[in-house]
Amino acid sequence: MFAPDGSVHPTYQALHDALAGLGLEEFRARSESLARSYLDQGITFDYAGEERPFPIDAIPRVIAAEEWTRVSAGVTQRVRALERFLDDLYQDQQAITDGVIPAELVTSSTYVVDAMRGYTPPNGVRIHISGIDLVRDGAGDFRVLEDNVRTPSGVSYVLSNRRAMAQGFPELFAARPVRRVGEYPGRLLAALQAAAPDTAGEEATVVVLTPGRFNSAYFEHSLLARTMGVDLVEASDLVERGERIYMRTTAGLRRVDVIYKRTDDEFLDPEVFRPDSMLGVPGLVRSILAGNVVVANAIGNGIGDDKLTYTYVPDLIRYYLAEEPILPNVDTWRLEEPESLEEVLDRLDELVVKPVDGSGGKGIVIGPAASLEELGVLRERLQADPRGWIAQPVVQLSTVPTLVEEGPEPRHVDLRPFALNSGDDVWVLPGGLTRVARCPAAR
Amino acid sequence: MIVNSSRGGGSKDTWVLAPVRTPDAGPTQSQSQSQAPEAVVDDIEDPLDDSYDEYDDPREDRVEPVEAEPEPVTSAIPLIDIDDVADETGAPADTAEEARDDAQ
Repeated sequence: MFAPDGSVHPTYQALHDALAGLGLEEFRARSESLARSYLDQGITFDYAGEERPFPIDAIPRVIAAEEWTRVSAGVTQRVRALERFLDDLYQDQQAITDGVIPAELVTSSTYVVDAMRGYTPPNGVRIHISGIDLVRDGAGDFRVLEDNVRTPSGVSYVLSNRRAMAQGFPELFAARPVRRVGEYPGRLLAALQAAAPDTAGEEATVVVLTPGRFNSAYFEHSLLARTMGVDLVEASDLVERGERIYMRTTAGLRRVDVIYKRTDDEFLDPEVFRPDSMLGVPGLVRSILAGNVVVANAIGNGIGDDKLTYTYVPDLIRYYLAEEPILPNVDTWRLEEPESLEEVLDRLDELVVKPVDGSGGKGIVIGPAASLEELGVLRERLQADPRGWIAQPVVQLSTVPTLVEEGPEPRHVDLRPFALNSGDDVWVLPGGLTRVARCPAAR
Repeated sequence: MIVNSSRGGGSKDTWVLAPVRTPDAGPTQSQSQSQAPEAVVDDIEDPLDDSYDEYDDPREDRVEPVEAEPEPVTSAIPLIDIDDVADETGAPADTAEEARDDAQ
């Protein structure tokens, strides 16, 4: 919101004036009311298996139109390249033949699903929904931190935050025209229906498959099903008959054409993955391969989320699209390369080290914040399994004023834009999830 | 940098400003210009617009088709003609009903 010289950034000027007109006391009172309503609604986030409140900060993060144009184009480009990569990976693997990516990237990944080799979805889309995490670097430029093309979550917070802000602070929206986010559920439904097999009727039957109410993202599963107007089902509600998937209803079985799955691949079908899974539908993969049902996002997309794959995405963009990447990656070391591993081991206390298959911040070690003992354990793990890790420098992220007890204070933020691929085009939701750190920003 | 809730964070509403056109400046202008802005896209947030309500269920306006095939799972249970069902006395249902009517 503020430039280094203390002046208000032009993008924030109108909001700043509107907030100043409100006064801190009134602003704080309404903010506390918002926080209470979030608790009442049960809007929470998972913390190591424990549900915790996911509070909204009432000072919005503002992105200028011109900058969003670039973000949107960059996210779209990335999704298109990853679509081409996944299609190639499960078909001819031309990128390996041409030396763009090493074969070991694929053969060593636990995310590649052999059962899906040769499979092509009806409308060619594997990444129906994506969340590409971005951060601003020290120069103020957006960079990609990681790709999420399996089951990116968080869009329910985008919708809920906007709803809460519109109700709690309607006058702020008069300051400048802000783009809507409420059309997301309709766009999502359209993208899912566009993915339906040819055998589906005029209006394909779409369901949201949830692991159940104990899942940390259940709030999101139920909200998306409700706002799309489709059924929220658990695995026990679905049954396979003759390589088709049906939903049990009080009026009998009803055929399902598209399943928006919010369950990890390894639990989806006990015939193919974990035989002890109670969260899957036996025969689901057979039904997919027979072309009678589509699962979104496609099974096997995890290789696109692999943080080692992430390091190759700029090359994949050049290879598949013949374009230069619009949004650069954060600089990253591939620890499977001996020289990189050696350098990272030397600088462990100043880098961020991440497992390639982690998500939600799990398993990350932040060198400057780690104890000597933690770094010692990490060192052994990196030496034992270099393929399993990447390393990045600590990025000095941008801050946005955030209301804390003492008043508005700068806090670090990131951004997860959400994109939907209907097959005809990639649409990026004009908004996205801004997550804000609780701890004070380094000054 | 950890911003997610796993380290105690929260979230913010993210406002993407609409490109605007000012009366005397022709095409799309920077967001810093603020006199009488006119948005050049039509997806502008209106806090008074209640067309999007997360508790509305679009299915209320929809008629859901149910497939005839395959047979419902419940078809495995043989259908029983209610006329053939005997009551506790062993008499057919209609007979038992008549008996009750007579008793009243």
